[in-house]
Parts: sequence; structure tokens; C-alpha cells
Amino acid sequence: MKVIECRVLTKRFGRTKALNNLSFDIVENTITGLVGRNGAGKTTLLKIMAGYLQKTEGEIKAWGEDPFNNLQFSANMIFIDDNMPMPQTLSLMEILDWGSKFYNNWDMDIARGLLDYFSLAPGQFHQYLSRGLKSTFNVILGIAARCPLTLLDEPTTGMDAAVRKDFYRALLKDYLQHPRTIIVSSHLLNEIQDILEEVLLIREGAKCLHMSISDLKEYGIGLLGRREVLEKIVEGEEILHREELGEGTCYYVVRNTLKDQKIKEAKLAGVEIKAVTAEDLCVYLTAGKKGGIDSVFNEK
Amino acid sequence: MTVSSTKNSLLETVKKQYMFKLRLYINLFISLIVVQVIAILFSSGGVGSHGTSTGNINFFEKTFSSDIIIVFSLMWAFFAAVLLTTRDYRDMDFVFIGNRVSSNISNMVFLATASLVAGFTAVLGGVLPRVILYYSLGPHHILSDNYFLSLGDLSLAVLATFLYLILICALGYFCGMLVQLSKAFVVIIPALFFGTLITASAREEAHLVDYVFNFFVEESSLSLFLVKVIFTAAVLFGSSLLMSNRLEVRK
Repeated sequence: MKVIECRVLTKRFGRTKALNNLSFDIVENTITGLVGRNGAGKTTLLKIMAGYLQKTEGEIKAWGEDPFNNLQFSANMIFIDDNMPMPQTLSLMEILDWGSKFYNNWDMDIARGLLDYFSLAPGQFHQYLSRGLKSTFNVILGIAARCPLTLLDEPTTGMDAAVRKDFYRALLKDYLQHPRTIIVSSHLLNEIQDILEEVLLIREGAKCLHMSISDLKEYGIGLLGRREVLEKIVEGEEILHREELGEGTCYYVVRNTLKDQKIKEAKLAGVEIKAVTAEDLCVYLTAGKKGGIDSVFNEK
Repeated sequence: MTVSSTKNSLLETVKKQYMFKLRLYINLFISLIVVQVIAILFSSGGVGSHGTSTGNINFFEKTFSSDIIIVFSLMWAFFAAVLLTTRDYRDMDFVFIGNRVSSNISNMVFLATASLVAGFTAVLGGVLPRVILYYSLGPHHILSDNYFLSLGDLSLAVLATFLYLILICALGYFCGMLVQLSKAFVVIIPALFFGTLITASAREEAHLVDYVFNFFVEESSLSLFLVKVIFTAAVLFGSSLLMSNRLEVRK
């Protein structure tokens, strides 16, 4: 069943288009990674999905209804980000208590357990927590609420490496016990790819690709070798990335549609065939200016 | 899990948000107490006095009034209502479940509760200076006109103060929402208010503020006053709700 259906969705802030003709579906009980570079529109998209922001054009439906300002939908959704408004007059434990009053599926045991595990004192106040601990508390809220739709916008901002790992593990464990639809945004695919089933990659507000993580891992293939050899091989292929490594050596990344014959030829000609990680692939697919950061320095 | 598995009615959500706000905005009640204590201190000094003497007889009269407590409470109500419309306070409604309508209605119920509390404490706080006077000056120095209040008088005073507070809350909420819609109203609202006051008093004629003021204050029938206040508050709150629909739910 589709939880979210998005059709040619566009969102404008004044003159800038934050989202541009975005169409995709999110299927029930999956974990989807929303990946893109800074300013690609991840947060805007999540906030529209959360019903916080009004779309400009197109259509977005959650369980067949418009999520914007929708009470029914709000009861089934939780949106977590690092600048969530949090009550300043309530202690962490009190906030969790209120969470249990609002959300029907709330799991207080998990909430208390996680609070304890991450050494957050129940009597502390949210505004006095460090950035990383704030994020930690927010995700505890997101996990314990057990909402059918859980939206996490850059949930690990400020967390240290150990907490990040623990958090993703906790999220995955809880998801396996209580399947629900989770969308996590991040610009670090490496960090989240182990728990993901689907990846939605967006670039400048438009959809770049939407596929399963296993397909994404095999989407591209890297070729390293002499430039003149490679140029012949990649002819007619979809080139995703090209990098000069100096002294006539070149690195190409192409769609993984090369015929076996061609791969054999390449290997004979001394070309190294490399797997391309999902993370690298996303970087190549969302690359900005041709030539990368080097071009800024080379032009001088 | 689908939407149907978790049905939350509007009433249920409003109730939860209202209870949440009572706990969350406890500071507002504390500020109310502070404001009223300050007002009591002001009024315990007396609001007017005059004295005469003929021959050996010295006559000194001092007037005490608890109006100042009510005026202070009204100002508090206005700012409390404005505060609820600001971004930080509005965002609080979306930490957990809620939508625009539930958020506005729970705000209104909260403001009504705050008005009732403030009405009670303002009127009872007005009694306090009388008690202090009684013990500090002694009963012989008090002109008994308006000094003793019957229970009926007191409850009538609480009701009237409550209604004024509701009215001011509705006005504050409305102005606050206008400001949220466009920051230009921060300048426009005071400009309009003081503008009409100044131009009209310069021409020495009745003006809009006067007219509005008289519409409520000069009303001698309680039931008619009640109707006027409820109607006006409903219009103000209603239009605030409509205005808030033009805002994004949460940034």
C-alpha cells in the first residue's frame, strides 16, 4: 500500500523553486533514505510531507488525503529535526509523559530505556542540553511515538559517532519489531545505507533517482586506466563521472550496462574495473559544476 | 497501520492541547500574580486625596480604589493573548498532535480560563487593600460608602471583570495574529490607535475609540453586556482563526 503519493509537486519560496515537479511514491512499512546535497530541498519536502508547509503546485497525498493542516494525519505522523520546538518549562521526563498522552502507540518502556541508555537525566531541561544530546532526545521521541509515518530530518546532527551508530541500530531494531513507514533524510548516505531499503535522491528540488539500495549499489561501475583506451570503451555509454588522475590516467564511472564482451576487452587492455559505492554514486549524480572543486583552483 | 487505526477527534485533541497548555504556560499565571501584586502595592497608597482645614478642624480625605488592579490585569491579558500568537508559542502546538483549528480553539479555551482566574484574583485582590486599611487605620477612619461588599457584589464584579478580560484577550489575539500575518502591523496598529485618539481629542469630538469604549462600558444591562462581549469575542477569535489559516503550519 502506498503511504505517500507525490505528483509533480512544486514548492516556491518567493521566486526560488525549492521543489520542482517531484513525483514519487513511498510504500508502506519501508525505510527510505532521502538523500541530496545541502539546499537540495530535503527539509522542504519532509515538511510538506509532514503537513507543515503548503505545496505550491502539484499533488501530495498521505493515505489518500492532503496532509496539510490535517488533524487525522497529524495523529499518525511524527516529524523530528534538530530544531524542533520544545517546551522550556517541562523536564525531559515530563515531555515524554505528554508524548504518551498524545500518541496512541507510544511506548514508554522504550522511551525510558533509551533515555537511560543515552545518559539523559529525566529531570533535565531540553534547552540546557548540548546540541548532540538535544538531537538524541528528539530521536527518542521519534522512536517511542511509534507513528505509522515517522519523518526524521537529519536526525543525527551534532551526535558523536558512537551515539549515531547506536541510534541507527535502535531505529532498525524498533522498526523490525514494529514495522512502520520511516523516511530519514541525510547528506551522508554511508551512515544510513545499512538500514535503508529505498533511496530517494533529489537534486536541486527535482528527483534524481528513486530505487532500492541494492540496485543503487550496482547502478554504476568504475573504470580506471589509460585515457585513450577508456575513451573508446565508454563511447555510447552513459557517463556519470569523469576524473583526470594525471599522466594519461583517467577514471570513468558509467551506468552498469556494459556488455560482458566490452568488460573482457577492457580487462585485456589493462583497465581496472571497480565497484562504485552508493555514497560516491550519489555524489557523482548530484555533482554541481563540471570539474568539481578543482576547477576553482585551476582557473587561477 | 493506517489512518483509521488511530482516530483522534477534534474535541479529544483540543482537550489534550488545553491540558498541555495549562502546564506549559504556568509562567503566564506567575506573571499574572506579579502584575497584580504590583497593582495592589500601587493602589494601597491611595489614588486620590484632598484635605481642608477650618479653624481647629482638620479634614483630610484619601480615596482608595482597586480599579488599578483590573487595569493591570487587562494589560496582562492583552499581552498574554499576543504572546500565544507568536511563532514560538504556535510551534508548541505541533510538537505533538494538532492542527490549526485545534491549536486556535485550545488557545481560546486557555485564554478563557486565564481570564476567569485573573478575574477572580483581580477582584479578590481589590479586597486586600480594604482589609489592610481596616487594620492599619482602624474602622473609625473609614467612610463606609462602597467599603463593604456583599457576596452578590463580588460575584458580579468577578463576572464583569472576566468578561472584560475575555474581550481584551480576543482583541490581543486578533492583533497578534495580524502581526503574524505581516510585521507591518506592529507599526500600523499602534499608529491607528493613537492616531484616532490624538486627532479626535484635538478636535474635541467623539471618536472611534470613545465610541467602542462606550459601547461596552456604558452598558448598564448585564445580559446585554454579556451578549455584546460574547459576540465581539467570537468575531475576533473567528477572524483570527481564518487569518491563521494563511500561515504555514510550522516552519
